[in-house]
Amino acid sequence: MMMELLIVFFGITIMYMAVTSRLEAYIKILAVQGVILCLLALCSIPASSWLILSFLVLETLGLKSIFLPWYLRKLVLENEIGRETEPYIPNFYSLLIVTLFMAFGFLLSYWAYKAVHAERLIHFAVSIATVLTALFIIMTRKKLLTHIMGYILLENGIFLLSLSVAYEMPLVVNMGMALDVFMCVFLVGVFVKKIRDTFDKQEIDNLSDLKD
Amino acid sequence: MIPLLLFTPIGCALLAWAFRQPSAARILTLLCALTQLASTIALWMKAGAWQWTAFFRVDKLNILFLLILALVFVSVSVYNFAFARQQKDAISLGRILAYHIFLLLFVNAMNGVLLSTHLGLLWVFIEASTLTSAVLVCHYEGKASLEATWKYIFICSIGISLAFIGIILLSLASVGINSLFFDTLCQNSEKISKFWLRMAFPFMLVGFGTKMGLAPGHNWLPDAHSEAPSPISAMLSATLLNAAFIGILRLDILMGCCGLGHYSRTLLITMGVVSLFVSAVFIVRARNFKRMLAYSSIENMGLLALGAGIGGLGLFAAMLHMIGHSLSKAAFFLGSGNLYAIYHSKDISSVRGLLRRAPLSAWLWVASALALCAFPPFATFISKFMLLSTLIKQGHFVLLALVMLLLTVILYGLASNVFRMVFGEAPPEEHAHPMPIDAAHGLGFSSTAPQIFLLGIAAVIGIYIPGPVLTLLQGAAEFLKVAQ
Repeated sequence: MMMELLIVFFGITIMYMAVTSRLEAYIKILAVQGVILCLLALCSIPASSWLILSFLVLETLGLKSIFLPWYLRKLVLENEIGRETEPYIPNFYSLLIVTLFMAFGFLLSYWAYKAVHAERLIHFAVSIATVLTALFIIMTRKKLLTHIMGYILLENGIFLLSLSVAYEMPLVVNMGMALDVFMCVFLVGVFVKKIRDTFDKQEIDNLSDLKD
Repeated sequence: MIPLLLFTPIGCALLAWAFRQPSAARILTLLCALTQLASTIALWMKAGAWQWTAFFRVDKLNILFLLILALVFVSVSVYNFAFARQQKDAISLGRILAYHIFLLLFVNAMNGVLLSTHLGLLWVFIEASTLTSAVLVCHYEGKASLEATWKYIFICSIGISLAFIGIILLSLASVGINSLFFDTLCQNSEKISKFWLRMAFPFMLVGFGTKMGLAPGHNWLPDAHSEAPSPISAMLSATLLNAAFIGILRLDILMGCCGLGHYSRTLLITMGVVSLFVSAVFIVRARNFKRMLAYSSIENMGLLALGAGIGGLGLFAAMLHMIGHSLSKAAFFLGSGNLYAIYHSKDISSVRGLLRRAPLSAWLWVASALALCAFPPFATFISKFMLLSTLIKQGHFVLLALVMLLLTVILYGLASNVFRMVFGEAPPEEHAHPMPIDAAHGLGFSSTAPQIFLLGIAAVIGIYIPGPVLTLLQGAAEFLKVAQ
C-alpha cells in the first residue's frame, strides 16, 4: 500500500512538471522525486547486503535529491538564465498531453495484466508515462538546462521501471544506477562546465548553429 | 587471441600516455592496429567458435565485423601520420595524446561490443564507445565541435537509456530465466513472454538504432561526423555504426528464436526506409561535404536495416554491403581530410577544380564516390543489385519502387556535388596563382595510401569474391538465417 501511494505521488510530480513554468520548480520536483525513489527502493529491493543498500541511498538521496538540484540551481543563478522554462507550446496543452501519456501508461499496464497477469503494473504504468513525459519535455522546451532536467527525469523513470524487476534481476538495477551516476557526472559535471567555459552566458541556451 | 583484442588497445593507450610523445603515440596506434589485423586474420583462418570466459566469443557473425574494424583501423592509423602534418602547431600536446589514447580506447570499446555474448555487457560497451568517441569528436574544442559533441552525447544517451528500458522489459519477459546471455535466452525461448518481448524490442531497436544512425535518432550523426577530425569521422562511420548494427542483429536473432521474426523484420524494414527518406531529403540540400557524407551513412545504414529486414538473400547482400560501405566510406572521409587540408573549408561551394590542385586526391575522391554510389567494379554494386533483386523476388514492388526512387535522389545529390568539386572551374584568381600542393600540406604518401588500400579491397571484392571471403559472408548470412 505504501508503495502504491508513493508511486501515485510520483505520478503527481510529473503532472506538476508539465504545468509549471519555473526552472526552480523543476529543480525542486527532481529533488522530491529523488526522495520518493529512495523510499521506493528501500521498500522493494531485498535487503541482501548493506553495501548495495548504502550505495542506493547515496545515489538516490545524495545524487538525485541533494547534489544535482544544488548544482542545477547554481547554474541557473550564476548564468543569469531566465527563470522561465520557455516551452514551445502552452502549458495547458502540455498538461493535456502528459495526462494522455499517463492514461496511455495505465492502458498499457491494464493490457499487460490481461495478457500476462504480471504484478507490479503500477510501476510500469507510471514509469512509462514518466519516460514519455521526459522525452516530451526535452522536445518542447528550448533551453539546454531544461534538456538536462528532462534527461534526469528520464533516468528517474527508468529507475522506477527497473525497481519492478528488482527481485529477479538485481543486476539490472545496479546497471541502471551506474548509468545514472556516470551520465549525471559526465553530462552535468564535466560537459556543462566545458560548454560554460567556451560559450558566452547569453549563448549557452541556444546551441543551434549546426543545421542544414 | 580474444584477450589480445581486448587488452592490446588498453596497453598501447597506457604506453602512449607514459611516453608523452606524439610520434610515439602514432607508432603505438599503428602497432595496435596491426596487432588487431593480425589477430583478426588468425581468428578468421582458424574458423570456429573461439571463446574467452563466458562473456566474449568469436562466431561467424562478428568475425566479419572484426575484420572490417581491423582494416579501417589500420588505414586510419596510417592516415594519422598525414593528419599530424595537416594540423600544424595549433593543437597542444595534451590534445594530441588524448586523440590517440581515446582512439585506442574507442577501438577497445568497439571490440567489446562485437565480442560480447551478453546483452548487458554489449550495452555497457556501446555506452563506453559513446563516451570515448565524444572526446574524439571534441578534438578541436571550438564552438561548433562542442555543440556537435553535446548533441552526440545527449542524443546517444537518450538512445542508450531507451535501450536500457528495452533491457528491463526483456528481463520482465524472461523472469524465469534470469539471464541476459543471448544463447541462454535463445535456448529458453519458450519460457519468454511474447508480450513483454514485443514491448521490449522497439525500445532496444530505437536505442541501438540511434547509435547506428537510423531515423528517428539520426540527428547527431551529421553534426558529429562533420565536426570530428576526418580520421575520426572515418572510424565513426565505417566501424561504430556497424558495431551498433551487431547489437540490433543479435536482438533480431533472439526475436527469430522466439518466433517473432516477422515482427522484428517489419520494424527493421520500416526504420530502413524512413532512414533512406531522411537521407534523400537532406543530402540534396547539403552544403558541407562532410555533412553530405554523413547523410550518405544514414542512407547506407538504412539499406543494411532493409537487407536484414527482408531476409533471404537480403542478408548476404546486407553483409556484403556493409563491407563495401565501410571500406568506401572510410576512404571517402579520409579523402575529405585531404580536401580540408587544401581548402581549409568544408563548404562544397568553396571547393572547385580539385583535379588541377591535387590530382591524386581528386581521383581518389571520385573513386570513393563511385564506390559509394554502387558503380561497378565496387562491392556495393553487387550488394545493392542483390538487395533490389531480392525485393523483386519477394514481390515487394511498392517497396522496390520507393527504394529505387530514394536511391536515385541520393545518387544525384552525392554525385552532382562531387563532380562539381572535382571538375568544376576554379575561381579566376586561383588560375592566376595555382598554389603548389605538396607534402607540406600533409598530402604525402600516408594521406593517399590508406584510400588506395581500402578502395582496392572494395574493388577486388566487387570483381571477384575470393573463396575465404565468400565463406565468411555466407557464414554470417547463415548465422542470421536463424532469425527467419
